[in-house]
Amino acid sequence: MDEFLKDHQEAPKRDFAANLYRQLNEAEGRAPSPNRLRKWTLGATIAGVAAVGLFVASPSVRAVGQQFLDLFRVGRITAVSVDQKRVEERVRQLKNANLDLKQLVADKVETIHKAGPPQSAGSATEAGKIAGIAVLSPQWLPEGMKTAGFRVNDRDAVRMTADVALVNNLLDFLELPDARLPESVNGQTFTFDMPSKVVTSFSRGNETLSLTQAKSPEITLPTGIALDQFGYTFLRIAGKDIAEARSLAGSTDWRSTFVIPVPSQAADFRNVIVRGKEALFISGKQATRFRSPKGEVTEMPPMNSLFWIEDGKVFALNGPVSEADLLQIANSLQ
Amino acid sequence: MTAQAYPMKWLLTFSPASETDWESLYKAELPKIYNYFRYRFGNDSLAEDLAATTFEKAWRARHRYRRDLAGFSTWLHTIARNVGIDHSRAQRPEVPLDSLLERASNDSPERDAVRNAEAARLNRLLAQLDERERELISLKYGADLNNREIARLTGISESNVGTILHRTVAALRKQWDGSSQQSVASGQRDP
Repeated sequence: MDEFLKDHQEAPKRDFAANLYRQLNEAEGRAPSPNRLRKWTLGATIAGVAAVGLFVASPSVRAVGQQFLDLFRVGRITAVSVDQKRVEERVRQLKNANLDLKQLVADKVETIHKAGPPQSAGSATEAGKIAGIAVLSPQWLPEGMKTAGFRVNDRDAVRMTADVALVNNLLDFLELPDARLPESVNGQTFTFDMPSKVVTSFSRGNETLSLTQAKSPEITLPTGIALDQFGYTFLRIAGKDIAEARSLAGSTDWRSTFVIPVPSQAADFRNVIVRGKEALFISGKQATRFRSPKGEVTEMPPMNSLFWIEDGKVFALNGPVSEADLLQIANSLQ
Repeated sequence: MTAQAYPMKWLLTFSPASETDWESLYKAELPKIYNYFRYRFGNDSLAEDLAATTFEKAWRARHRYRRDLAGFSTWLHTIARNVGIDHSRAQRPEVPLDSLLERASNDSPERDAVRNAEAARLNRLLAQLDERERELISLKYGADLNNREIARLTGISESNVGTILHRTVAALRKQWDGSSQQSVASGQRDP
C-alpha cells in the first residue's frame, strides 16, 4: 500500500556526504580517525583472530540442504593466554599481502537473517520484548552510577561453507602448515545464529559500564566434524605454539566451550564465581585514553570484564570499575 | 575451533574493546536524516543544508553516546526535528516542491524523467498534508523510523501515530492512484 512513499528515498550525493564528514571532523580539530587513542588490546587481538578466523571458516552456498545434526551452544566461557604480537604479526602479514578478506568471502556467505540497525528502548522490559528475552537489571550499582540507556542489537544469522583449499593456502601463507584442515571438511556448511543482544549502559561522569545479555549463539555443525582439529587451527591462529595448541585442543570440549584469546601483555584472567556459577573475569592492565572533541585527553582506569552463562544466556559486564564492584553488580541482577 | 571466529565477532560487542565506529554510524544515519528533510520540505539542496546543520549540532557531543549508539540516533533525530521546525518558522511559505531527484543518476533519461515526474507528483500530494501528518510521513518514510521511535520523538502515543499514518497513507494512496489515472487519461487524450 505504501510502496509509492518508500520508493522516493534517495542516497545523499557522494560529494556532499564526503565533504560533510570531512568538515565535521575538521571542525573538532582532528583527523577523521577513531577517538580512542589506544584500543584495549584484548579487543584488538579478538578482532584480529576473528578476522583471520572468519577467513578460515570461509563459505560457499553449494552445500545448502546438507543434513545438520550437531549443535554448538555456549555452555562455558573460558580464556587462553596468547601472545598479542604473534596475532598482530599475522594480521600484518595478511594486510601486506593485500588480501581483501571480506571480498574473498563476500560472495560466498549466505545471509539467513540480516541484522537491522540497533534500537533504543525506554526500559529493560521494552528491550526484553524487542530481543525476546527476560532482561535482568542490577539492584546495586557503584555510588554515583546511574542507568543511561538500553539498546537492542538485532539478530544476525549466516550460513558458511568451508573452502578447504582457500583455508589451507592461507594457513600456508601464515606459515602454519601444521594447522591445515583435512580435505573431508571441504564443502561442509556451518550455520551461525547470533541472537539479539540487550545492552544496558550505566554512567558516572565519563565512566561507562555496560551489561550485555543474550541467548547463547548457536552454531549448527555437520556431523562427524573433528572439532579438535578446528580447535587446534583456531589456537594456532590465535598465537599458541604447536605443543600448547595440541594440548589445549585435546582437553577442550569444543561443542560447548567458547574460548576467548587474551593477550598476556594486555590483560590477566581467572575464574570466579558469580551467582553460584563459574565465570570468567578478565582484568585489563592498561589504562584507556579518550580524546574529547576539544582535544583534552582523559585517562580511564583499565577495563575489567566479567563473562558468565546462566539459564542458557550469555552475560557480560564491562567497565572501568573494580572486580569487587563487578561481582556485586552481577550478584545483584534480578 | 575456527567456527568460533564468527561468534567472536558477535562477542566483540560484549567487550569494552568495541570501538565506536563513527564513520559507519555517519554512513547509516546521514541517509535517514537527509531523506527526512527531503520528505519534509521536498527540496534536495535544502535537505543537504538542513542535514549538515543537524550533524554539525550533534557531532561535537557524539562521544557522550559512545556506549549508546541507539541513543545517539534518537538524539540526532530530535535535533533534526528542531532544525526543521526552526527552518519552517524562519521561511514560510516553503520552497516549491518540484526539485526532488534533480540529481544525475545512472538510469536512462526516460527512467529519470518518470522518476522526476513521480517525485514532483508525490511532493504536490505531501504539500497538501497538514504539519503533523507531513512530519509523521517524513519520519516514517524519509527517516525510516518505526512507529515506536516516532512516538518517542514526537510525544504522540504509538497507537495514535499508527492511526494517523494509516489514515494519511490511505488518503495519499487514493490521490496517488487517482492522479496516476488522470495522467494516463490525459496522456491518451493528448498524444
